[in-house]
Amino acid sequence: MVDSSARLVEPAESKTETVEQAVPFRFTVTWTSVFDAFETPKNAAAVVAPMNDRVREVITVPTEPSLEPLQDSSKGRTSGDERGLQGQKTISPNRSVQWEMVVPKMVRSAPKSIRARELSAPSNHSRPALHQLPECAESSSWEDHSLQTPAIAIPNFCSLSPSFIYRVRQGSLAIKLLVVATALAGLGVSTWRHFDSTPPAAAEIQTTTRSGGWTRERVTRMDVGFNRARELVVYRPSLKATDCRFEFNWRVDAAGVGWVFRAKDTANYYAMRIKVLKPGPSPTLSVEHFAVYRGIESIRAEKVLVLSKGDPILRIRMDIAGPSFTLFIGGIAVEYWTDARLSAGGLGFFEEWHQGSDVQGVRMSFAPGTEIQRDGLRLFVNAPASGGD
Amino acid sequence: MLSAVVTSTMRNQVDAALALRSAGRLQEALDLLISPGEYTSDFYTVRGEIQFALGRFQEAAGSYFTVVAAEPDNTFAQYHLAICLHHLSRWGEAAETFQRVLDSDPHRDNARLGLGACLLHLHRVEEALANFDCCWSDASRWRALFGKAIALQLLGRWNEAEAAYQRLLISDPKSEEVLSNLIAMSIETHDLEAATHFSMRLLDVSPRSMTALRGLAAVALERKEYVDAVRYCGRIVDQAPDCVEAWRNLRFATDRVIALQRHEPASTAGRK
Repeated sequence: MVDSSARLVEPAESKTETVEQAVPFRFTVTWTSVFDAFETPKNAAAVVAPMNDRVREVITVPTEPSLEPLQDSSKGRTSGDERGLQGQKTISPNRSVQWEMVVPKMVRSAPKSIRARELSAPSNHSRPALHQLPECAESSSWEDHSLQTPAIAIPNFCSLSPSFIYRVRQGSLAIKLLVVATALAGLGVSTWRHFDSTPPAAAEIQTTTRSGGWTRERVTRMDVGFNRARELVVYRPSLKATDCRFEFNWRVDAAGVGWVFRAKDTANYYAMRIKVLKPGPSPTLSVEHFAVYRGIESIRAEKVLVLSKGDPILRIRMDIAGPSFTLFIGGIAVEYWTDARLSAGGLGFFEEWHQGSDVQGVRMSFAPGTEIQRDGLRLFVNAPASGGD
Repeated sequence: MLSAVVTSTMRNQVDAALALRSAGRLQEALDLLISPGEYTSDFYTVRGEIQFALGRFQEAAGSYFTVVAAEPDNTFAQYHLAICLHHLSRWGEAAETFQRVLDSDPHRDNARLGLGACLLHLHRVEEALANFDCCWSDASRWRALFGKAIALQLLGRWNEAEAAYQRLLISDPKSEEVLSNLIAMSIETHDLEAATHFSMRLLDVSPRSMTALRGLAAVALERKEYVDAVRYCGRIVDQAPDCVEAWRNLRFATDRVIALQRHEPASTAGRK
């Protein structure tokens, strides 16, 4: 390969001109590194190494288990009972992770009146669990007792569920959002955020950003001459998230959708993207994932999914447990890989070339122990009652 | 009805092959995908992937070509066909295929890098340079800059090439290929100081680097430092006994050293 990617360089005219003169050495210009991105047979074999629980490169994804309605998804505990692919082991998340039904504990509590008002704020997307007494009613902490009245709903889970319509079209730099309802409990975090598609005032965006909402960051590059084409839109309260689940509905379009997780900053994050390769009744999608670590973007791993049904909206779910990441489309595990470089970071989306995606019903669930920063508060998601605390 | 049965059978074939492949049993997986009843892109795509994983690039190219022939818009198959053609050193065809991928997805930098590399092989250096300039993503940053440096070097734009190489070395100070190319460029421009510097750096990274030893030997010969030349040429022939230039230069330098040693006592005696 070296020889094939090489050009012979003739040395400059030698000054050692004698009868028995030295022979010039040959030097070659090589460019094998330009092709490092391409899979070698060895690498390709590693991709399908037996260790893998990973899904196959080309798969068909039946969309029969239709998209979980948001209400349903909020009701159901994500128990990991989703149907796996044939021949694939079920992805078992970290046993210590409880996605829901845990009591959050706040370091600095808000006034009760505010909490009560926030908690009782009507929301079309309110989750039934919000209005249930916590399973840990016997909790001895003062915060728990103070809120154990039927009038005040106490969240007994730790899902942070910003439901919003994230709609950014080409050329638009503003996220168009409108907060419809926010519920924040003194002892719990249960938030449904509604971002309307109508253009918000710039001040609203600023306010939202300051209050711990979504933040847009342009990925900076050091090299001159490279286009700055990527922006991260990260949910700031999730910046310290470790194990979590990220769900949203994507209205399938040609632009595709890209999201990030474990986003520590614009130079360190994991990213995934789904693109439509071939639309139609059985659309073909491309799923790729890559990591940006210390500003260097890794090689993109890509695979193709063939859906058995052309659903206009796909429910995307990402389970992030330790170094293991699993992607579900319509409840079906379609991709699994591991990477241990980044252990914590935020959730969000990314755009390239200012091509936004139509994403709705975003929902995040965090593992116990996660620190969530919202509205100036530091909230800690505790372990479930049965587990202690 | 018959078609449905055939399709179902092929689906089962593909599923079984995928399961075997996931278990690392590539050859068995491939054996299942010998003869399709009728065309399905999954069948040929999976077969191409397995053939590629087994290093059978010619066969893999055939499988991907089948998909591309039936589905010219299948970018995935186009791209992998291009990679196979590149592995087969069919630069012209590979370049055309990479170009077709870019026609449908102009932001795909991997395809752009592949096209650039093929253009370098085809001695279309100016085009390659323009192509590397079009890369935009973080993932391709280093490789695009490397391709650009190569193109500049091949075009004889030494200063620009060196600047690009220096930027690459900031990102990756131990890149053997960058250091090797810098040695080649230094020799070509007769910059002996630079050749020595980069050769020593390369030797630090890779103590057995032939390019570094050749660079140092060439500089020593040029400067008539024959003792050093003997040392470096000796190391080269130790590692590469078939290197004719090194043998010849070793003999040449050794003769010079002996001649100098004979000459020195004589001149010393003359002074006495």
